[in-house]
Amino acid sequence: MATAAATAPHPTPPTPLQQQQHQQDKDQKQQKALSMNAIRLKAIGDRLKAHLRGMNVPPIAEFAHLVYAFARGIDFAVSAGDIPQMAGDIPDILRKVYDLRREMFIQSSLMVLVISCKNACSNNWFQPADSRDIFRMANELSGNFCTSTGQAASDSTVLEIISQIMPRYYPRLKFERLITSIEAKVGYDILMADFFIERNLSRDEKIRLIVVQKENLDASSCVSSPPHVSFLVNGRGVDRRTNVSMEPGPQFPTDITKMLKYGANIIQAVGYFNANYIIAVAFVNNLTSFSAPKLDDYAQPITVYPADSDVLEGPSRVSLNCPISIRRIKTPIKGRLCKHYQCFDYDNYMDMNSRKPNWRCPYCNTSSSFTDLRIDQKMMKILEETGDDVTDVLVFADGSWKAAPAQDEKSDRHRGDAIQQTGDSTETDSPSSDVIDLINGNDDGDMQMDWVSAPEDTKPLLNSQDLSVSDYLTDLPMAVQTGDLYRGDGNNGGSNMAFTSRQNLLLPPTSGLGSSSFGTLESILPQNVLRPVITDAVSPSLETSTSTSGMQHVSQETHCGTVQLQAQIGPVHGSELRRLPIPRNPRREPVGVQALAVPPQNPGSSTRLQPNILNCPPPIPLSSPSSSTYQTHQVTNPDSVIAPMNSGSGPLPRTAASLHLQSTAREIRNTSSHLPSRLVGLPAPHLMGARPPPGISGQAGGANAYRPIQQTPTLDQLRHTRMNMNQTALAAAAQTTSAAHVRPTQADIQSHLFPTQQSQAPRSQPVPRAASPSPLQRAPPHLQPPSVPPTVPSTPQVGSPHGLPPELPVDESWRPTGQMRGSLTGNAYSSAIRHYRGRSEQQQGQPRPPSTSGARRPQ
Amino acid sequence: MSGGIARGRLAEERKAWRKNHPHGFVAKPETLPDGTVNLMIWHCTIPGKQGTDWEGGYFPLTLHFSEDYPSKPPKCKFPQGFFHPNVYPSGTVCLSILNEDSGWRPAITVKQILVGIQDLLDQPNPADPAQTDGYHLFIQDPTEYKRRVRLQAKQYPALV
Repeated sequence: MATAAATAPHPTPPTPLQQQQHQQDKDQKQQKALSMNAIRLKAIGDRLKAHLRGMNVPPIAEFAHLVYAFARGIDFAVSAGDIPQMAGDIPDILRKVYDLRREMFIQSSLMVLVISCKNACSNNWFQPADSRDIFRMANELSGNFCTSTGQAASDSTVLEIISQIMPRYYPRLKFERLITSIEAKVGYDILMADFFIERNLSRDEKIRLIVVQKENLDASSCVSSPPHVSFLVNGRGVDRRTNVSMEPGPQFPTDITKMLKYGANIIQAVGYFNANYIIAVAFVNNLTSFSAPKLDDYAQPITVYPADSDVLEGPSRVSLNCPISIRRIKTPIKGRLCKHYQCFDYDNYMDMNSRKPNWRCPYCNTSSSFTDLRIDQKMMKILEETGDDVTDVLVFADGSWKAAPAQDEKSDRHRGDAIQQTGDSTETDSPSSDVIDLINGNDDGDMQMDWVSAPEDTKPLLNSQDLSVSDYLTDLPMAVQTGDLYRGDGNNGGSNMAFTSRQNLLLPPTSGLGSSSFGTLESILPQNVLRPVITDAVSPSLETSTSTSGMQHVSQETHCGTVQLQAQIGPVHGSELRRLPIPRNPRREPVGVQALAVPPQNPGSSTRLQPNILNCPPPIPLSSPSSSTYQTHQVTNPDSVIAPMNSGSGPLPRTAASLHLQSTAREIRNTSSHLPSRLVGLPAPHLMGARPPPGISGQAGGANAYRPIQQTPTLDQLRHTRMNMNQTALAAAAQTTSAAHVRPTQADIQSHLFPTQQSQAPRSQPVPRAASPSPLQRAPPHLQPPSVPPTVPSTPQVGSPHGLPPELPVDESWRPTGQMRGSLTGNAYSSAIRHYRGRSEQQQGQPRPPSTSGARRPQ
Repeated sequence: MSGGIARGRLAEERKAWRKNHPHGFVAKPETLPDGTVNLMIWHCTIPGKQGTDWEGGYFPLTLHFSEDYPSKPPKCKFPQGFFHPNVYPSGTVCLSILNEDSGWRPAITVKQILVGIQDLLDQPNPADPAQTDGYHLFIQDPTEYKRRVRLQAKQYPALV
C-alpha cells in the first residue's frame, strides 16, 4: 500500500528512491506471501491426497472446506503469476476429487476448484494433456450449475453491439476492453461465466457489467435490465439488477469492481429473459474530460402536416424555457426525429440522462439518444434576439416569429380544456408547456395496464378480465371487503387486495369450500391465534363497507383463503425437494437466487447472514440464525483456514453457495417448465406472525432430508432458521436425490397443495410450532422495500379457470398468454379439481401429514 | 450538477405556480417544523370540478418528488382509502401521465398534473382500475357510486 507516502511527514511526493524502496518492500511482501502460499498449497494438497487415498475420510463438510482452501491457494498463485512447485500434483488431486462429484456437498467446491485450475491452465501450470482434461471436467461440471454453459458470445457480436450503444447512451463512458460475455436467448435460463482478474489491475480501472438487449438498439430501452433476471457476481446480487432491487428503465453499466477479487470470478444470470441479450463484463472507464462534440444542425422535417390534413396551420407558441428546468434554454437542442418547435437545453438534457439514461425527448418522448441530438440554429437565433423577459414566441408556418404576449391564467386553463377535447385545434401542436393532452394521449386501456406507480400498488384486476372478474366478485360479498381487509396497514393495501381478490377467484363460488377450509383452519389453529387477527383485520372495513351481512364469516373465509394460499405456497417452495411438475408462470423469478447468494466480507458464522438480511429484509425480526442447518453450510467457508493469504479478495465460498442454488434451480427447471423461485416471496408478512403456515411441512422435509449429513436439527431450530438457509438445505437435499428419484405423484402434490390435509400436522407437531412464523414464509419480498409486504403472492392457481396472471410491478412488457392463465394442465388440473370436490370427505380420511411424507421421500 | 436538477426545477415550478395557478387549487412545498422548505414534497389541494358530484370537495393530495425528477414523475397520493376507481388503496393516483413508462414526460408541469388529476376525478378510467371498491360500484351500481362520491366530497370541505 501507500505506506511510504502516508507516513511521510511532509507533503512532498515520494522521491524516486522512496518509490523504489516502496516497490522493493512490496515485492518482498509479495514474495513472502507467495512462498507462504506455496507451502500452504502443498500442505492442503497432501491432506487432500491422504483423504483421497481413503485413509480417515473426514466429515464431508471438512473435505469440501479443504477443497475450497485449495482452490483459493491456486487462485492466489495464479493471480500473482506464480507457479508453485507442487503444481504438477494438482491435476491428479483434481481428478480424484472429481471422482467424488456425485457427493452433493463436494459439487460446488469442486466447481470452484476446477475453475481455479482452469485459470492455472492458461498460465501453463500443467501438461497439455492435463489441461485438456481439466477443461473437459470444467465443461461437464458447469452443466450442473447452469442450463447452458453460458455460451460465450462471439466477441465480435458483443463488441459490435457495445460499440453501437456506447456513443448513444453512455457518451461519458469509455469502453476499454471486454473481459467476458454471455449471450442470453429468450426463455428461462441460468447462465454462468467465469473470468479471471489479474493482480496487476490499475486501481482506476472500473469493471462494469453491461447488459444489452440485442434487438432494437435504437431505443434506450435496450439497456434496461431484463425484468425477470437476477445478476450475480461471485454469488452476490448486482445492485439494481436482481429481482429484489430491480430498477426499471434504462440502466448504466453497473460498476462491479468492488464485487470482484483477483483470480477467478463468476458472473451468473438467472431468470426469464424476455428477449435476446448480451451480458458483458468489461473495463469501462469514465471519460475524464467530456467535451461536447459539435452537434449537427437540426433540420425541421419537411412535412409537419400532410397536405390533406385538416389541421389548420397557424402560429405555434414555443417556450424559450427548457421543459426540463423551466429555465431559459442556453443551447437549444432537440432530437433528430422531433417534429415540434420546442427545444430543450443541452446541459439539462445531458445532466438528466447522466442520472438515468432514458434518452427520450422531454417534450414528446421520442427516443433521442446522444447521437440523435441536433442543435436548432433557428431557435438559437431567437434566443439571442429576445430579451430574458420574453418566455414565449409565436412561430409561424412560414418560419417567421414574434414574441408572444404573456399568458394569463384564464386563457391558459381554457386552452388546456379545449385541447383535451379537440385534437385538431391549431394549438394542438403548440409547444406551450401548458398544453397537454390528458385524454387522448397515451392512456388507452392497454397502456394503462402497464401502469405501475410503485411496488406496493398493484392492480386488483386485470383489464382483459374485467368483466369476468367483476361478475365473479359480485357473487362473493367478500370481494368488496377484501379491499378493506388490510386497509389499516398502510401501503400494502393494494397488494393485499390483489392478493385476496385473486384468491377469491381460486375459490369456487359455492360456500362449501370456504366453510370446509374454515373448519380446517379452526381445527389446526388455536382460537386465540385465529380470532384476534381476523377481527383486527376486519374492523376498518366495517366503516366503509356497504354490505355488512355475514361479514365476519366472509372475512374469515377470506382469511382462510389466505391461509390456503400459504399452504399452497409452502409446498411449492418445497418443490425444490419435490419438484412439482406444475408448469408455472414464468414471470415468477428466482428470488431464491438472491437469497442464496451468500455474500459478504466477513464470513463469520452468524455474520454471514447479514447481507442476506439486507438483501431481502425479513418482515419479522429474526431470532438467532445459528441453527444447525446453518452450521452445516458454514463448512463451505474455508476462510478460517486460508485467511492469512486472503489479502484483497473476497471469500470464495460465496460463489459456492450460490452455485448450490444454481444447481438446484437448474434441476427444477428441468421438471417444471418455468420455475421461479419467486414463489418464495409471498404472503403478506404481517400476517405471518399470527398464522400458522401449513407450508411448514415443506421445511420439515428439508430438515429431514438433511439428516444423513448433519445432526438432526430440532424443529425448533429450524423454525428460527432463515428462509434462505432452509432453501439452501432444500437445495442441497434436492441435489442429493436425483430428479427422477423424487418426482412426486399427483397425490403427493395434492397433499401438499391443500391445507385440509394439513390438519394432522399440528397434531404431530406441537401447537406452538404451528403458530410460529415459518421461515419459509418469510420469504424475501419481491422487489419490495423492506417494510412493504410482497406485492403479489405466487399462487399456483390450482384449478382456477379464472386464474389471472398477477399483474406485477416488475413487469412492464410481459403480457399474459392464454397458455399461462391456468397453471395446472392435464392430469394435474383435473386431479386438483377432483381434490377440491372431494375435499370434505378427505377431511375425514385424515391423509398423512405432508411433513412426514415430505421427510421420507428424499431418503 | 445533475443532483440539482430536481430541486432547481421544483424551485421554478414553485415560482411559476405563485405567479399563476388555476382557481381553487393549492400547491405548496412542505414546510418543516424548523421553517425550512422541503421542495421534494408538495401538499396540494384539488377542488372537485363544478357541476360534478365532486363539487364542494377540496381533496388533499401530496406530491412526492424523487431526485430523479423530472426524469421520473412524482408520486401523487390522496389520503389512504380515497374513494376513486383509479386510486390505489394506498392513495396513490393511477394516471397515464404519471406513469414513467407511458405518459410521463419531463415537460409535464405540476399544474398540468393537478389539473389532470382533477379531470380524472370525474372521469375515471374503468379500463384501469386500481381499487375494487370504487371500481366495483362505478361499474355495478352507479347510484351508490354517486352517493359515495358526494359523501366523500363532504368529507373534504374547503379549509377556509
